[in-house]
Amino acid sequence: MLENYLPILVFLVIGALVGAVFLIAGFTFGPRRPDAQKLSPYECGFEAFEDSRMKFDVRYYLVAILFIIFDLEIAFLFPWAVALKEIGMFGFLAMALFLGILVIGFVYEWKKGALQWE
Amino acid sequence: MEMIQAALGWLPMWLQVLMMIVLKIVVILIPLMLSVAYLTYAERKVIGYIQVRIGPNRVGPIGLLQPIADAVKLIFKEIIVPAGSDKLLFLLAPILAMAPALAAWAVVPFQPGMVLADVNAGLLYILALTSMGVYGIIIAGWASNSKYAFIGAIRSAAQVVSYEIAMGFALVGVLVAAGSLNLGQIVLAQSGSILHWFWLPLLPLMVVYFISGVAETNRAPFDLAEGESEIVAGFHVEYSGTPFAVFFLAEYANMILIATLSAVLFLGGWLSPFQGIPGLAEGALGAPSMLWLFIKVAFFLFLFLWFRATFPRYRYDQVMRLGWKVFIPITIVWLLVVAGMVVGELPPWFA
Amino acid sequence: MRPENYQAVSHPPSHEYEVFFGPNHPGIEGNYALKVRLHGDEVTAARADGGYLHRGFEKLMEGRLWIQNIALVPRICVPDPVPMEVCYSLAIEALGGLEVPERAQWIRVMQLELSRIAAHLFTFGGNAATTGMYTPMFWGIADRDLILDLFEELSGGRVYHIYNIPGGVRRDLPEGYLKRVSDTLDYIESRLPDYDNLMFTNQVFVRRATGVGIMTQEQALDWGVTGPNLRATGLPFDVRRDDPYLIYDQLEFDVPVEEAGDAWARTLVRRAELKQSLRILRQVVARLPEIDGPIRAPIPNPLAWNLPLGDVYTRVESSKGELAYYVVSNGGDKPWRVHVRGPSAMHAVQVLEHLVTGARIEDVAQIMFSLDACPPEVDR
Repeated sequence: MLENYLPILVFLVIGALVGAVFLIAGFTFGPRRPDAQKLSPYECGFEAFEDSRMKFDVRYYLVAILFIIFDLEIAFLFPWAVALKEIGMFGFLAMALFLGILVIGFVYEWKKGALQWE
Repeated sequence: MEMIQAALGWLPMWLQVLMMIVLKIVVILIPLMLSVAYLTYAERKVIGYIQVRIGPNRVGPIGLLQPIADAVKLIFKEIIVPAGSDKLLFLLAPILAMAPALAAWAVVPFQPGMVLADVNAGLLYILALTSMGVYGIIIAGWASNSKYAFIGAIRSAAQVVSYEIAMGFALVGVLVAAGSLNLGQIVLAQSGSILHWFWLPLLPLMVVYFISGVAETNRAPFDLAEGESEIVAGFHVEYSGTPFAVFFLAEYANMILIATLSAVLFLGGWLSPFQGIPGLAEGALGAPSMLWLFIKVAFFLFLFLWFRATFPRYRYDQVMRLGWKVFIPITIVWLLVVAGMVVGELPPWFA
Repeated sequence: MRPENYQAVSHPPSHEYEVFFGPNHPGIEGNYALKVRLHGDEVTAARADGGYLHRGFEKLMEGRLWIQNIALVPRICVPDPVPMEVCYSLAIEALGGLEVPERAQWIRVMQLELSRIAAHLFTFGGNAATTGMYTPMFWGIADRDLILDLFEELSGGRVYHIYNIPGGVRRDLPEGYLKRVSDTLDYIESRLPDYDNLMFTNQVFVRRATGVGIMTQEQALDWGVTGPNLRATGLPFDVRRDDPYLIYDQLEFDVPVEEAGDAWARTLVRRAELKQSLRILRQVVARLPEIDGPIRAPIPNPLAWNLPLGDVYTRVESSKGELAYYVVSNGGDKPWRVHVRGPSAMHAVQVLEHLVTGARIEDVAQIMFSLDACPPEVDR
């Protein structure tokens, strides 16, 4: 069972290696002549004058929170989906109820304006 | 395969296994990298013709060596690491974008029995890995210490997680229809004829899945992470040389991945479209083959290019609106419909 | 590099930050800079800086002979150079009391309208490109090139024609020229449905442009905005109709108007105007063969040509609005003072700053292109 997952692990390592090989090739073959102008961040021709790691809009943060809720729901749905043929009507109704509750929450968010970007 | 295994017989067992796996991975990776290279060529040619120009035509016959020339050029370019950046993360980000884009291919079935890792949680693994790619983008944006990159990165993060949900629901729909997480099983569940493929019962989910895929790969018209008319190049504004090339490769590898998954999940993967048609199904035309998969993948890839040439970029609020207020309701409703069809054993798909 | 006299708008509070649009930015038209202060995605303040293209044309003109300046004026606005030549020529003709032969007037109108079509095609492309759709841009540039071919045949220059001179035009039409103009018009007309499909009926584009950068008619009048931008707010003012010059009063055309005043209305007005230009050109092509006669009025030796004392204000309708020249002569062989009313100067600085404020960052470039701001006109 678990040996099936070994290729995946190897693939992940190789995938990272491919990226690393490219970077190493670039560092090996490319020139390196840095100067202050070249290394300064791009600001459309101006000099950067403040740190770019600033606070950002809270709505982005809100999206992340909503995402966690919904993604968890999806994770709950996975086993149900696989087993739906066995559990039949009862499973369907149970999940319909679950989805119903989810939809109520979704509608609440919608009406609250959490999905409003304007 | 056996011959190679025999030739490796003198090595210790674990090393033999490892060598075999590495060999198989290389067999997947080399065509994949070539496809990525020539997808960039195809993109420039297709979009060129749409835009009444001819695209690359200088390097090699009809410009066929252009991707190679690009790769060589990028390797010989200076890698600029900006002064205010977090140098480790700056260089780690492209690798983090690349690794999942490639590793997801481990569970993609090309032909019956032809898959690197025939795992039962294939779909879950895909869902996990396609959402990993955004880490590369976020880290790149944060590490660059550029405002444009930072805006691009947080936009990309919010966009990808939003479409992740619709994508997840669409995948659950496929699961319900196929009753398995294994991608090979999902393809087999679609056998019968072209009408048995899931595109028909799951049509809304297919549309949602593919469009979400376009959004997840940050491709036009959802390329807000690099919207050049506002934030110049977004998250990779500070990247040059090979780190930039790696981002580029990862984006295109992701495109091919999304196209392949759409073909596997909704268009019957390796199954022949002539299956089940009397008179045609008996010959080679009706046989399942990798070629059918490639044709379907090419179709979806063409859609990617076509979108880019003919759609303006969405505004951010429009992107979020589409993801949250259109796609998620559609998928939830259709998930229930599919579940109802499965429980009701609706022929011909779920009988 | 930061310029010496650089000053920040003010010190931004912690949750606001400043981002530069230009001078080295793909979403900015020409050599121009817009510094915006952002709160989240929203612009809270903006300052435009058009000084990157200051070449001092108005001052340069004071040091050159009347006729030498003809070579200078088309450079003021590269995408739409013909109105510059015509308007300056009109000013000299008014000062010197020259009567332009009728044939020359018709040829000038033909050139003006061809130039308008070229400029509008260019603007469509730029406008689409600000939303990340590059196909109309390539189409527009390709189709515009056919018009530039016509200009090249007529004058030898594709962009800077130096074809209009005081008193008329430099040379007569070549053999079969009107036929080629007519063919080009047919071709461009046949392309319009493609543009409609790709851009004007593309729902994504319509939604990107609708409600963006709204300007009311009152504001437009206060700011001195003219041209398509004014007509997009519902006021049908067009110099060609309301203060006819050349032979525009003999031509039939409509002045298209939209009410909304947003980026989409401005785009629609330009599209309708392009069709009106085609209509005008059809009439010109039909009438021109009947009109014979000289193509320019005789002028004195241009190297020793003193225009009488006086001043004159001439205006024409360029693709961006009312273009005007205020020329003062002190009786010498050179202008004493020239002022160019570049139409973009009205809508590319204060108006742009105002419309951008409150917009989302994605729309900044779109607002600039939908106003058809031409940076070289701003600071001549």
